[in-house]
Amino acid sequence: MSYGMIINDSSGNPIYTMSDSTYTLLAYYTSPANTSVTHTGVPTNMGTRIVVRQIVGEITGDNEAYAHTYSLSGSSLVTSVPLANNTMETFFMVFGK
Amino acid sequence: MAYGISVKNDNNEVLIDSDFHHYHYAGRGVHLSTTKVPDIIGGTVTQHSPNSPNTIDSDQQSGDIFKYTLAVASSSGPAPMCFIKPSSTGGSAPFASVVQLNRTSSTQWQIWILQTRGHSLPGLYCFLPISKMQSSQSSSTDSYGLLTKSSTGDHTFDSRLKPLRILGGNTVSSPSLANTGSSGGTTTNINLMVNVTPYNYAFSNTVSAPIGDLMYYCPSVAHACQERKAERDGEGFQTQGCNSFYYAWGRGDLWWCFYRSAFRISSTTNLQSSYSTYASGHVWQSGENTSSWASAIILIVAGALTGGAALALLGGLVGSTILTSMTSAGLSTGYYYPYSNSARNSSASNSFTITRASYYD
Repeated sequence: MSYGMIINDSSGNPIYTMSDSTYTLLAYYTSPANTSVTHTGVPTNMGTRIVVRQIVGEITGDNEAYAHTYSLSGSSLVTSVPLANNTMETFFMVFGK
Repeated sequence: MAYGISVKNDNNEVLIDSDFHHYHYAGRGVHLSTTKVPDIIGGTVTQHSPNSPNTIDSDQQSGDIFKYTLAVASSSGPAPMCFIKPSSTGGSAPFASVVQLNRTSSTQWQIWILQTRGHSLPGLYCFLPISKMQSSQSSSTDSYGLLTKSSTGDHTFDSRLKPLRILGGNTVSSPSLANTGSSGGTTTNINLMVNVTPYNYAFSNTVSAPIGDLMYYCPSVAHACQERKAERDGEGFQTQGCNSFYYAWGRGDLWWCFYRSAFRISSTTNLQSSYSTYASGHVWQSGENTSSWASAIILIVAGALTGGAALALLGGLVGSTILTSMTSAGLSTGYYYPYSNSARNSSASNSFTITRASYYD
């Protein structure tokens, strides 16, 4: 590279360069079981954002264990219950780059 | 941002932003144990009904559950990003995924990886924001590099702590079935192994990292459950002197598997999505009617001695033996059967990301 930035470690190996890529945590939320929630305040100042979700806790009983669906638009992460009384608590993390 | 530092890479993507927490390498998850969800097996037989099969089927092999722990400064707030370093890669590799992430204490996470049975322990590379790291994880002997702080003083990026570097990623969903095959009938030679064609998802690998160096972060969201039933019946005559009698028996068998979505790296630029078997069960129940000579002949003529017996038994079996005992137990005990022959969350896309282990070794 002829310009930009290289961060080396103490051995001179590059840790970070302008050709690298990463995801930075923008926000995280928990949507309670069986409850649709709109989370606000998601930072919008990164061009690419992704959402990772994970069911929280162990699936038990006769719960069909749906995860919340979601849509991310602007500063809002809208999470919805696919099936009443059968949706697990769902953890969301929004990353950006 | 009104102040601080923001660095973008050659693709105009944010590489460092002092306002936001970056994930850094917190170390490998510590392998705690290897377990397996207990099989649910049981049933009753009568005098003349067949007494087999009475085990789990060879095609119902539940996967291995590898439990890891990760020590943290605080388990509140964002979860760790846990990358699976597969034990093997390619088209014959096992499927693996993080199926549970539990806060087991205020300073510890427990991570469960489900992997197709019979393969080596996968590696687990864990990443955290610096603010969630223990001091042993966030200390460095290096005295130079780049450290950023947020407006609240939190360390948000530290080049000495191996910040996460991503090769590529995509969004992933899962097949709507884990097993393709017919259900029901009289055969007891059932097949519930994962045999669906995996979904393929391309990712970029601009540095041409070798396949054995790749690892992925993609929590399991989808699950599926499929069952097979067998209904058999028969009749005969039991000679017993003056107490001889006709008999009719019926036996219903029910096998099921519960699957979780899981993944493997099939090439240097491709992730495959499928399932691993999480829990398995086989239950059965038999019933029998006996009749004296005269009444039995009447029933045979009426066609009522055996007709529908197995079906009725099976319906009762599902209704009582399974559902009653499964309404309060957890999945890790094997008692989970709220639906069958379909999937949940299979179309729920989830983002996955790829990095390489050698960045952090």
